[in-house]
Amino acid sequence: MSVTNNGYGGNSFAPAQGGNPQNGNATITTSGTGPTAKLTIKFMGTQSSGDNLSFTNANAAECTNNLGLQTCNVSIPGEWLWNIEGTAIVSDNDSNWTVTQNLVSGRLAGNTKNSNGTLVPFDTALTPDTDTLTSGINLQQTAGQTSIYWIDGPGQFEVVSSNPVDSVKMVQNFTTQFCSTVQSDDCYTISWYVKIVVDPGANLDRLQSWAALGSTNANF
Amino acid sequence: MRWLSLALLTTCLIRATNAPAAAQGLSGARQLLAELQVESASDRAADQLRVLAQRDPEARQFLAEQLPTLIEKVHGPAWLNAVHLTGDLKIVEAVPVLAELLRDPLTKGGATNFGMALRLGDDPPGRALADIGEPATEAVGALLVDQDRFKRWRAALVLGNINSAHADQLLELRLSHEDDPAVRAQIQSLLGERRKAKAP
Repeated sequence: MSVTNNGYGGNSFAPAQGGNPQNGNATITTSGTGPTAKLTIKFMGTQSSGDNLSFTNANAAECTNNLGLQTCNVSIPGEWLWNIEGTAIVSDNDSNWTVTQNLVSGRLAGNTKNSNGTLVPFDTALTPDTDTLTSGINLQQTAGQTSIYWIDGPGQFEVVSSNPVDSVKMVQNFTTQFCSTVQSDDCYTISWYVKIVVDPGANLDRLQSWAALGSTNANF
Repeated sequence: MRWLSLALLTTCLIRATNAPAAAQGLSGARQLLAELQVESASDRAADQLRVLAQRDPEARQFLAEQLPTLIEKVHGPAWLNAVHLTGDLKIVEAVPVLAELLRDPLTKGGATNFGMALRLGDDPPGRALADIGEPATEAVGALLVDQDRFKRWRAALVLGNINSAHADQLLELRLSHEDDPAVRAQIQSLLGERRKAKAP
């Protein structure tokens, strides 16, 4: 799929083109002679065999441990979300690395429907923040091993400000950074994003919704 | 020269009229609370109320009396701003209405991710209760025994964010009875993180 102008103000999907979201390798921002970490993110399919994390245990609103775009209605309100799995293959030992994940930017804009059936617009920039990775919940980091896994499910509830969503475009841009604790300035960063588009009538748009490496324009 | 003076005076008057006047006292709080309920003015009114209530005890008391009722009446941006204000201003009087909202699943919303969920960024009433802190503990703790696993999970997250000895005690007590894997994992993680933080 080649999206050059999707109606949100330009070439929003430039970082990754193709029929499906891409699994990808790390964007290495710093490297040296110290230990290394090779970072990848899976946006589709199933979790890796060594990954024992559970989406449904990490978040009660989750309905599946499958990766990719999901509509979860196990809880009220339901949620449109994109499950991802990250993997870091480190050259030494899991315990020699610290992991931080940040929401770099994001936005959700669209319309809710109030009790009279009137459309009420909303447009909110997401505040950059730490997207906490918690060991045993969404981070698997085991001393003596060389694979670190993390999972996340960025998404959008079917409700905004206590009113049901009629349509929404939501973007969340993340960076995940691994830093060695045995050598200073030995850090590896991967950037990735999730975009979820819901068309009027609260219909999830599976063609416009997207997740990939890099970042996407939140100024739609 | 006279023309120039007149022009300057007119400009100053126009600016003074258009500039958001710093609201004062009870009358300012009343006016801003009315504006809070106007969709296009709600965010700005909330910002100004936050500042006013922090420096004026009378205005704060007025909000403590008005916001709990307002939260039950309004929807959309006004509702969201009113809920945020109760937490930001630590309005204990709002605990009963916020705890009631915690029972209503439709009061969560907006964008989410796992980190945001842990910090209640997708749960306005939950975040407000956590910001109010210890005075909200008992009301939130009552939800830990609800039959609905989602309400227990939500209550556990709020108690974890309250981060007090009393809240942790309630979580510890629940852990011995909790059989839902997600709620159990969340409580174990919250308590585990706390122990890690306390470790020398």
